Amino acid sequence: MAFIEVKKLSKVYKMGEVTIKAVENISFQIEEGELVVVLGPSGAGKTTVLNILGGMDTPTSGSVIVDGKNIAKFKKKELTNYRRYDIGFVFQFYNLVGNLTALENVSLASQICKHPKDSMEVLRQVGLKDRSNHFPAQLSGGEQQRVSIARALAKNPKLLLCDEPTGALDSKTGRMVLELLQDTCHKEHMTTIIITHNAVISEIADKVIKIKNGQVSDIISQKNPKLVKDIDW
Amino acid sequence: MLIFKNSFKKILKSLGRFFSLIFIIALGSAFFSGLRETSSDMIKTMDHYYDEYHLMDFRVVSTMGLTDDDVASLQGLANVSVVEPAYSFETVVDGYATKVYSITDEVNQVHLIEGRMPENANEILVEVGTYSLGDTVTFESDSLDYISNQSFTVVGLIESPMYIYNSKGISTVGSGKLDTFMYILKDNFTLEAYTEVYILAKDNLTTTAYMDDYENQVLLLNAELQNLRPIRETARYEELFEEAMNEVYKAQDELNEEKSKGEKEFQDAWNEILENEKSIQNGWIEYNNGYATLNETKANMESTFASTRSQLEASESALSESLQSFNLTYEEIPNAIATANTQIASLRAMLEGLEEGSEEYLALSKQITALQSYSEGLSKILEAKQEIDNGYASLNDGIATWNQEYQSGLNSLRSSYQQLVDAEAQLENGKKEYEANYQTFTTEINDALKEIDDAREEVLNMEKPVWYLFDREDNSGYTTFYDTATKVDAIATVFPVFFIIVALLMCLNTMTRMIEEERSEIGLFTSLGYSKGKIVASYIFYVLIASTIGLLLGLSIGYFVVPIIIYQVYSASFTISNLITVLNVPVSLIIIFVCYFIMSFVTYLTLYRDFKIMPANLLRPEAPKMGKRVFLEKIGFLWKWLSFTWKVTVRNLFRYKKRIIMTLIGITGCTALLLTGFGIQDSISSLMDKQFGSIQVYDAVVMLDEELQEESSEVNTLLANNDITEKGYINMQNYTFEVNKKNLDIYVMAFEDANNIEQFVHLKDLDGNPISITDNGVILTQKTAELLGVDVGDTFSIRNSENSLFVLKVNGITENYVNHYIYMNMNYYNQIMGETSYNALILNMDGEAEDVGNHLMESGLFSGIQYSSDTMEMFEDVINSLNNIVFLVIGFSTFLAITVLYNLTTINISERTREIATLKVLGFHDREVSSYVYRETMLLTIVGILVGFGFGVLLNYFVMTVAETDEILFLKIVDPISYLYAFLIMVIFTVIVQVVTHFILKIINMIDSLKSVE
Repeated sequence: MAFIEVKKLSKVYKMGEVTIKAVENISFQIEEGELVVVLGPSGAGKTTVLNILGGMDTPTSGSVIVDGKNIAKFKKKELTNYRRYDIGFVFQFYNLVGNLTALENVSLASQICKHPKDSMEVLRQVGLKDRSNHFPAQLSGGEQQRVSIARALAKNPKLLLCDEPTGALDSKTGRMVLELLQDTCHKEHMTTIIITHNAVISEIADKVIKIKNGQVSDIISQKNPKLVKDIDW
Repeated sequence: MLIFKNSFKKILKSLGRFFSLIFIIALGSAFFSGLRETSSDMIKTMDHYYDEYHLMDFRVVSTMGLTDDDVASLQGLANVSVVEPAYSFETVVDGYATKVYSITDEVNQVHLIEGRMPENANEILVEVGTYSLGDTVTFESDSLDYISNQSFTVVGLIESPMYIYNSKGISTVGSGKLDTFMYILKDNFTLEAYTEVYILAKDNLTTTAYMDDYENQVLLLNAELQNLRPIRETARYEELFEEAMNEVYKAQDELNEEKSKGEKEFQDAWNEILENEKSIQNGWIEYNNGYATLNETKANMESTFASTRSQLEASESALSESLQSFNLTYEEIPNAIATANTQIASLRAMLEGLEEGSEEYLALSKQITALQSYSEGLSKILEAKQEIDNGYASLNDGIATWNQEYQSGLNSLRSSYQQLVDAEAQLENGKKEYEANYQTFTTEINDALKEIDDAREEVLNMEKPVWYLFDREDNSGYTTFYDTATKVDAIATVFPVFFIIVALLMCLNTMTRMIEEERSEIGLFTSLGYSKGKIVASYIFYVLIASTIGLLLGLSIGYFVVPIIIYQVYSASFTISNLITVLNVPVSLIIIFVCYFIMSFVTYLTLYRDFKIMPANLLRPEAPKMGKRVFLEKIGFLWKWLSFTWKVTVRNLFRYKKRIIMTLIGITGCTALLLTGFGIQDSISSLMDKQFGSIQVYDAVVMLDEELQEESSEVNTLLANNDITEKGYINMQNYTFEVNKKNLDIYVMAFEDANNIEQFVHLKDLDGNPISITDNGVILTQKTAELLGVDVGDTFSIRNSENSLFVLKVNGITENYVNHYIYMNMNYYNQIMGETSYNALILNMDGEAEDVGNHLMESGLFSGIQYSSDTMEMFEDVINSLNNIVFLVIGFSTFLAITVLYNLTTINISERTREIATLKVLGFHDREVSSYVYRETMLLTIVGILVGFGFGVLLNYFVMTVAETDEILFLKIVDPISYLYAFLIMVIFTVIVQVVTHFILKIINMIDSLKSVE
């Protein structure tokens, strides 16, 4: 059984009388340690999938089995715990707490975990050992995103979810971030899902799930994904 | 317009914020306007009352009364509108010092509460609360010096604008304190001159009492009165002098007349005496004459008797001789005659037989003739004898008659003699009496003369009458009311300022936050090409709607509710119970204008900051504030010691300085206000316990009916039988004296036995050490000492009601909170005041004080009783009413606290939605998210509370100082429990607000919040 099994996942938003189907009948599987890119244009529903996978949202129907547990049936508190212990998030706009140093931002996440990594070690891992005492505002976008990744990794999650992690970055720093993600995935056997609308990025994935209009249009397994340094955008 | 429609949408979207804005504006404006207006409402109310009943502006009293001429010349003054003369006097009615006035028509009118005005001389108006309609009021007889009758029926219950305050000032009768007043018809008074004249100043009704315009009017009139005063004083003097001199002359004339009349009477009396003397002398002459005459008569009579006797004796002897010729005794004569007559008869018979002419016949005839002459001779002798005998008899009769006559003559002379002697004695008495009477008369006349001379002297030395001008300031009620009103004002200045600052900051904060939150919307409007003016207008529109609703609410509460609540405190002491509340239009407009201006200005200012940013940037959220290290991190050991979450909290606290300051001010302010509220309660509620529980522990003071030089066994026996546990003989007097133009009532208590004072009053100095009374000074109560400005070792002087001055030395100052007392022992009292005696007993009782008291009063040995519990109740009334202000303050502060806390927390949350969402995504439980936010609020709340405690203590001290009256010394303490209350209220509301915000936090949507662009 796959590490993640999404079966017939649908999410319907009701805004008054209007019903919007964000995703409809989506099914896919992800193996443990895979680097997956969810690819699709803006508004295709990929973020909804990510939110549901991350326990930030619940599906209207269907099941989402992560490591043997159907999180679609989770109650609010279970979802919180799921986010707390199993999920690491990386956002497009980093969402660092501006008032905390890089190290503190990492610690903020790690201090609530059962088996956190050492915050300083993780920061070293993302190459920001020397910047650990800087505040987010003192860091560049790429550095901030790396802090964000460090924060996610420090939790020692089962699943790393990244929502357009390079969306706000220039290509150079974006590349660095992607490299970090790919390395982590490979070295630590960390299941990583990256959401992007950038098809180039999908080249680095073990599996590419294409989503269009709320539906999976294609799932491509790539036996030999490219390394980040080899892609070009 | 769409953009205004948008404003309404905004309101609906954030009802919480809108209402909190309204609420803060309402609270602020209500508190501000209400407290500020109370004082002026009070003054307006009083002014209205004074105007309605025409309280005099001046009262003229003269030492020699006032006349119609005085009234007329007062009426002639330029600044006068009404002048009305009146009478008054003071008397004791049922033991109460009472001032009796004549009813006036135009000035100092009475306020009839119940009943009707008097219609005849037997009807009276009394102060409401003293007697009931239909009661009979009987004056002491001394009142007949002023009025014509003593007994009245109560027909009306009144109040007077002259007596608006509980305390009515001093009195010359009774206890020295005026207890009540009454009004009767003018006609009842029998005085020749008015005792006083009331004057209403021109424009009295258009000016406002206590205010400058009034004071100026009064000053004008005062100047005129001061000018008129010497003129009228002289005029009155001359009038009285003339009158008195005339009287002296009249008396002189009368005396002269009386003197001459008296002297004439005495002359007449003397003449009569002389006449009587003369008639006595005549009497003596007459008497002597009578006596001589009697004696003469006696001699004459005796000689007559003697000669008659000798004649008779001669006749008798002659007769005896004749008889001898007959040789017969007188006794034999009748027989001889009879014999002769028998012989004659027989001879005649014989003759008959004889022829006439015969010898025989002739012889016989001869014989017959001889016999006949013999017989005749004998008869003659007998006749003579008879005659002599008769002569003797008549002589003897004459003698007897004479003797009788003589005796009666003698008797009558004797009685005349007695009469004359008596008359002489009487005359002598008469003379003596005359002398004495004359002496008396002369003395009397001389006395009268001297009296007249004295009177003349007195008239010549007659002092000029003195006019005393009293204005309203001399009425203790009038000034006390003003003091009270300004006291409210003083309180009103501190509270609202504090309050307004907090409220204003909250409003600014709210608006700033709102605009910050909507910066992207503003960006949108700007990019859509809306003019800045329109955008500003839309926000100002929003603000003005909130302000208008808030102001309407706040001002109506402020002007029509708050003053009434506050005045409740004072209405117990003043007769006016219904406060006139007015909407102060200018102030309202200023408040509205200021509020509008500040709100609009802040709105504009915040918007203006946004306008400087390009619309494109506006569309992006404001960059979060840069994190900073806080100074605490430099203290390494402390920082290390803090847990991670606390580090975050501390860092966050210092990140939003503005918000922290706002929060601190808000919480500090609310805590300070709350603590002040509770503190006021502590300061006043423990007062009575302290005063009557640990200082004045006696139960009652009974006034002895008669002053006693030493303990009375009668009293002692009575007390022993009536559950009295302790007793002490004292002399207690009530002195009134002036300090800083205010009359101070002071009780002077002199103890017979200073050693047992501890049973009744605990004298402790301000450090709590016991003080004892010694023979060389007094113990003053602390507030008294403060008002008099004296300290231990100083001396001070007081005047009693007879205006005698006493100089006292201060030996100690004792803790005391209610009323003024001077304690000393009898030795010192006697040294200072002269020999005095006990007039009261201080008592501790077992059982129900009033029951015991009634038993004591029934004995008739006591004239009055004063229970400590009564005094306590009286002050408790006053003090309890202060609770209104406390409730008001606590109420308002609580509302403010809730609003402030809610506002700050919601702002805090809205500012940090993104951060909170991040935490949620990171898997923080709701509780953890909440506590992440709460920790700051709680920390701030606690710091704010602690700082607030400090301010609260100061504010409480200030408020209590301002609220203090002369009779009461407030403690200015805050009980530990009050800190707890204030703390709990703040914490409870914080928690309530936190619970509410917990739910707000709970519904924060992670996904929406994390979207970078709205």
